[in-house]
Amino acid sequence: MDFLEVQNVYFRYKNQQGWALQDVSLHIHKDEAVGLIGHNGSGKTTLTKLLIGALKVTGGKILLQGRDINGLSLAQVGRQIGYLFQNPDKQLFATTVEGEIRFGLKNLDLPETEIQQRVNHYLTYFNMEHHRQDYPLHLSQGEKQRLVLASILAMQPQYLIFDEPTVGLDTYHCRQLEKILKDLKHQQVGMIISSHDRSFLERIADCFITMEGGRVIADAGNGV
Amino acid sequence: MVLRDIWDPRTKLVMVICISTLAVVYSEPMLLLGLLFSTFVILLYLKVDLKQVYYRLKGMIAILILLMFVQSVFSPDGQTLIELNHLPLLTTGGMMKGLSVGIRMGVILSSALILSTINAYDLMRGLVQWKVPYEIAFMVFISAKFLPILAEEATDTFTAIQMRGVDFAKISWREKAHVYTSLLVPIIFGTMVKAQRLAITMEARGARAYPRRTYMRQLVMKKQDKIWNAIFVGGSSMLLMYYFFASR
Ligand SMILES: Nc1ncnc2c1ncn2[C@@H]1O[C@H](COP(=O)(O)OP(=O)(O)O)[C@@H](O)[C@H]1O
Ligand SMILES: [Mg+2]
Repeated sequence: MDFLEVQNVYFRYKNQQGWALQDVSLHIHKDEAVGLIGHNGSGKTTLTKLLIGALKVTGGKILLQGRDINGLSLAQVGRQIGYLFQNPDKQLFATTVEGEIRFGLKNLDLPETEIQQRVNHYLTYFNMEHHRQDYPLHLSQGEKQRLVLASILAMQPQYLIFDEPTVGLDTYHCRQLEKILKDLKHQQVGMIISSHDRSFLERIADCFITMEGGRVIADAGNGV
Repeated sequence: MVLRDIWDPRTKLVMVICISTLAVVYSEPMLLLGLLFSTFVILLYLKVDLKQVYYRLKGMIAILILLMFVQSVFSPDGQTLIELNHLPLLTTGGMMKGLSVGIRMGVILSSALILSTINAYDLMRGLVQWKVPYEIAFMVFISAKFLPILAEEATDTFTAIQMRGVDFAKISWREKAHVYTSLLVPIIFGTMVKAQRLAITMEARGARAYPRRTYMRQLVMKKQDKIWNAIFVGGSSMLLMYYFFASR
């Protein structure tokens, strides 16, 4: 069974005239790194938000492991898919770096020892122990993104979706992100990475989906 | 020069200020109800979709009922309608007080909708012409401009919080309140960053260089606006005076 299945999906924003997405169909496997390529406004963000059920399809259907995404709460989807918004500022809500990572773990009802262990592990992995008590929104852009990633990875989802992760990062931080993504691939975590930066995607993705004007125009290595 | 609106933005601002002042002062349900009704008439006149009012007020009904009970228990007053072991649970006085607070919130929320029909740029210009300091006018401008964007920012943050395991259908009122407070942090932060960026951009383009610059379109108060302003300011002052002196 496909991990995510998109069946003839159409989407229109409430106050908008035309379609933001038109007749999109995709089969996405769990163990692949998919590169989602397209210019600004081609519909990448819209598609990824539909995939987690944050937006509801206007027509068509999206299945997560065979179940209609409309029947799942975002909290249920969040246990399986980690989603990183383009702007990390939008997804930091705790008052300390440590609290940020704890936030999701507490909602998973994990025992305190397990929570503590995961917090420490991810703080170390992302090289942020010295920021433990700092205010998340005061970190640098690259650090904010790593903190969001740490908070989501700590919940150990089996799949990740990144919306334009390289935007706002300098070459050094891009390299760092690339290393992290390759690490995750080695751990068999599947992912979709949306970007307009083809060369970045080519270093990571196994297959590509190309979007233009709300349609998927090419779908390589990913049987439709 | 063609004005897109029936009323000058300043007239609308004056209206909202008058209505909310009266709403804060009045405490009798009947008076507040009258105020709510007048606000609806204005909204209809401005062609605001009253469905929006409904969506805003819908969530308040539960709070309103809760308020009635809270007022009855803590400041029992009038006839007791429901009691438990001689402890009054619901009294006529408490019901009235709860109702007043509820309608008052309704008036303030729906009068704020009048502001949503204002073109932000027109308002800023109008305020500057009224000799309101440019900085303050600019702040008003920014908040009017960013309110819709703010709502969208909030959606993403709201999604992000739920994806981290918060199930809104399952958690208690207390936890919900807590989550809403967490939401405020990134939203306020985001707005501040945006406002700062905009201020820098505008300054770089010389926005503040000539505070007494001429605007291409000068806002002229029409006779109709002047009359409405006078009616609202005069009317609400008279209502206030009557309320404080004559009825005591
Ligand atoms: N919140 C929104 N409301 C209305 N239209 C939107 C909204 N977000 C995106 N769009 C429109 O939908 C189309 C696809 O946008 P988007 O998915 O953000 O593309 P991308 O992420 O590839 O840049 C664009 O035409 C954009 O203008
Ligand atoms: Mg995008």
